[in-house]
Amino acid sequence: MHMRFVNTALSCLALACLAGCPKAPDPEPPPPPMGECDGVAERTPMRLLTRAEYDNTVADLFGDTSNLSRDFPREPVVHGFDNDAKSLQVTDESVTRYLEAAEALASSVVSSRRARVVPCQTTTAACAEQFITTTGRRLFRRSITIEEKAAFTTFFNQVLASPQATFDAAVEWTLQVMLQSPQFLYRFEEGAVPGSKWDMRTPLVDTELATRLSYLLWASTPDDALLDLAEAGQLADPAMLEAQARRLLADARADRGRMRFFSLWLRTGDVGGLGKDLGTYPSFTPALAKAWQTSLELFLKDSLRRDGTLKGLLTSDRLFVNQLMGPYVNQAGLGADFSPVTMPEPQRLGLLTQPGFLARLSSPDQSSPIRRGIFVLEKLMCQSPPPPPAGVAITPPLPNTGTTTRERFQQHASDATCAGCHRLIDPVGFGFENYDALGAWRTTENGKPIDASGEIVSATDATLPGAFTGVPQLARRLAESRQVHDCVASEWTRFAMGRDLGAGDACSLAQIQEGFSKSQGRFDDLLVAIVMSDTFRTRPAGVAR
Amino acid sequence: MKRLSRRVVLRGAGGIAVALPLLATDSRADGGPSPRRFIASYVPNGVFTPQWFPTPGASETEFTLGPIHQPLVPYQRHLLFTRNLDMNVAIQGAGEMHQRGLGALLTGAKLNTGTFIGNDGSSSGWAKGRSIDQELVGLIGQTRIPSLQLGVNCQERDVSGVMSYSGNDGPLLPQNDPRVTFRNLFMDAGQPPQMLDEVQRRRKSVLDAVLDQVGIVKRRMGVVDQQRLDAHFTRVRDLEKRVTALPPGMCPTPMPPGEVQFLTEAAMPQVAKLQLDLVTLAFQCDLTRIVTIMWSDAKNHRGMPFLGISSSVHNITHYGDSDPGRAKLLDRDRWQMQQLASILEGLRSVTDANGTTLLDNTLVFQGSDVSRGNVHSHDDMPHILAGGGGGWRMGRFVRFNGQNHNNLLVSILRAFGGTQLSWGDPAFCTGPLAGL
Repeated sequence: MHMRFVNTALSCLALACLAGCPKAPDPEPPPPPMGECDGVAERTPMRLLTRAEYDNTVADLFGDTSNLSRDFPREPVVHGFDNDAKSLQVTDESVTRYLEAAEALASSVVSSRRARVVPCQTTTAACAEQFITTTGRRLFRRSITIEEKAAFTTFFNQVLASPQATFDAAVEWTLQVMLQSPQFLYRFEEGAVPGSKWDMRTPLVDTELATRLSYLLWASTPDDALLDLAEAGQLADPAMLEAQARRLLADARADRGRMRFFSLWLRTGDVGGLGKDLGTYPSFTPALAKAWQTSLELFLKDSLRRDGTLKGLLTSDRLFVNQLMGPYVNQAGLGADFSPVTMPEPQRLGLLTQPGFLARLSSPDQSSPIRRGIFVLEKLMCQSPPPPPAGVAITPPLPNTGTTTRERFQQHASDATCAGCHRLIDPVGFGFENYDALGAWRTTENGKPIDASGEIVSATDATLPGAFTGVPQLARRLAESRQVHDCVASEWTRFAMGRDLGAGDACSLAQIQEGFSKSQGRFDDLLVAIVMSDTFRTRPAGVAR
Repeated sequence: MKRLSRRVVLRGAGGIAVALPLLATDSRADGGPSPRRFIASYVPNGVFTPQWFPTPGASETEFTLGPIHQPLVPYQRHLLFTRNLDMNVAIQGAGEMHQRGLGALLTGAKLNTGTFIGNDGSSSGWAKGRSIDQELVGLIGQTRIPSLQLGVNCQERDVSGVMSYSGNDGPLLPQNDPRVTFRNLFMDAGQPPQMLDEVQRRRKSVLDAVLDQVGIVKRRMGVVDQQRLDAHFTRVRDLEKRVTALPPGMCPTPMPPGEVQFLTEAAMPQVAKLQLDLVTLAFQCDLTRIVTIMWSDAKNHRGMPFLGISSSVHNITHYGDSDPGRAKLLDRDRWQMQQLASILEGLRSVTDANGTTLLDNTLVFQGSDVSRGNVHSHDDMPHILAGGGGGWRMGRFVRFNGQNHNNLLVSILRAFGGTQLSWGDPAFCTGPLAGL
């Protein structure tokens, strides 16, 4: 193993450091091979299931698709993601909801899907034991311990011994206990060598690794096959781990995992509830916003299925439209259902020209060069501009009928105190001016021609800076950039770990980024690289755990 | 004998319907002291300062309310307006001005560093300390529900959307759905007694079995995760007490509210009415004594279409004082005063022990994250206190000459029996306010 020193400039940039406009970093030496990262592992606190994970888990285990988590408290959102381990904590409200959900689920499973939890027909003690061990294993994502089995058996028998209690009632109550146990609600991780003070990293126990794997790739619990392999000690073998990652990615459930990331990263969930100013856009209806969201989700799924690369996402020529969206994208003769159309350049190309995406990055009454520019810098280049200086009144210019948005925002950013950073943000956003706040294509605004010339002013990647005209040109340039690939890789790694990345992740992150780049930006290869990294497979050892 | 006043019963239209007749009497009818309650209310992004402060008179008690505060005129003798109380703790540190102000409103603490992006692009984490409402749980919160965090269209799920903290990095997000608020309060209300007894027995045995696993699961975990598990089991233990306590028998049994599109701008008035009716009922039934309520979040990129504000309230707070668009802020501020008046009306409508009303036994604190939205100032905060729960002399307009906001927070705690001399960041607290 060799020690590796973290290059502060690059890791700061890669981790979306917000402290200031980035400087060009020193060139990085290539990362060490997989499995050879050293240094103390970063700690991930034990993770509570998110609402989506809870629902997916009970859907996979019991076939319950009733959206049981509907009224669970909303997760805090950190860095755009809903799975921040530190912030996601139980409250009085959440334990109440867990109780309600456990009662509803146990009742419906026992009455209508009993075979999912009781793998035998009799009402004997042996059958009870089978129920406890198989269902306990599925819910706790490992074989239950002798103590757990004894506790559940005692409870089961107590229920059975109470007046008028039936075998099924005992199953139902015991299931309620399991569903409210921390072993189900949290992802427990102890590491394979607990108690050692001296090791800086300890590999995860195989079942813990299986759980990390399935919640990353499926947003759900491991299946029996994965648990079997883990309990046979086979996931420690890198070839087997990769094979399992590939198997999970080939399964339909992986769509949920991928879409979980994209929907949070792009905030697609916000699109359907967007409102627009009816004075400016009298044709807007809430149904149009819902159509935007559906269209954007169909686009993402289509791009992931047909191509699966970052380049494809940014340069796909598809658009999914229905009759509501038709008038805004010059398509006639559409029905209520969405159908794919091929859009000509320069009007549309890829993610950045999706109507829902553009509408979200707009104000209610005008487009927003600032929000669009910040998205590109922050989410695609991991280059967050620093905040405005303290005490500056931040007022976007009001729309009016005599000027273009570009003219108004240029005036706005002419203030010397703002110009320092707006000269980085606004030129990128001005390149989106062909799209109004409904994401519709336009060539004039208030009778004046649109100027869609833009510029990336500064970037780590030397291929990025320079002038461009319109989003398709910008998208093609971003799609080829190593910096953009590195940025997406660090975002997904952050999501995988449920916490901010730290110095102890730098070596792994470099490996992951290298892997993503070498694979020509294939998302599934990025996920495999994350899975194979030391950050993913280990945790801190000793008292600091 | 405690009775439900006619006014509450008749508030049904658009609000919570209450089934009559009343079933039981209040256990405090023997003349024991009434419990005291606390409500904190957060109005985002500052106020229309040119017309905010009352016109002072010859003495503290002789002030005249301005146009914004007209809805509060019937309650003037229950109000305490402050002048020159400064939220200095929020002037600097991580985060932008709205986030810092909201974070400090009840904690008196600064924000951690972190990755929440503010309106202006700055970044922060959660607040660094516990909020006074959670501290009050230990002083007055021994009820079925220790405290309630409510929201009205509070959408942000980061530091911009939280006012209550269990401690450092311990955000308690508000509940925006009146249907769920109802369930939190009246989980088993309306069940026939025999059935309720059966349900409670079953829940107790299930939760006992969950709690029996403490020793099994904690054994091999690291220190930090052991703390998480301790917190988890404490919540489950409290849940067990809650679900096995007697149902709120001295209360009217309300009907659950129907579905509301609770995270929409248009539904704000309806959601407000439902949530506030539930607060009144919760106090009346002594289900909780502590409530925080957020009127949207600190980012507040929401319109209020029912006031003719179609774009964003936040934008309106940024207009210059003489900008005609700022008249809309006046409308918003007045609407918020109507909501505050609704809170006070609800409290006054319920008779408490010894001929008092809930209003006599509740302290309401309403504040914002900044004072003037267009300059994001933290001096001269637009706070309003109301009700007799603090034991303070009300009906006053009091100057505090630049004292710290945190001094007010520690004063509130002491009013409820707290003994601390400082709250929040000690660099911004010089002790309780004199003369309350």
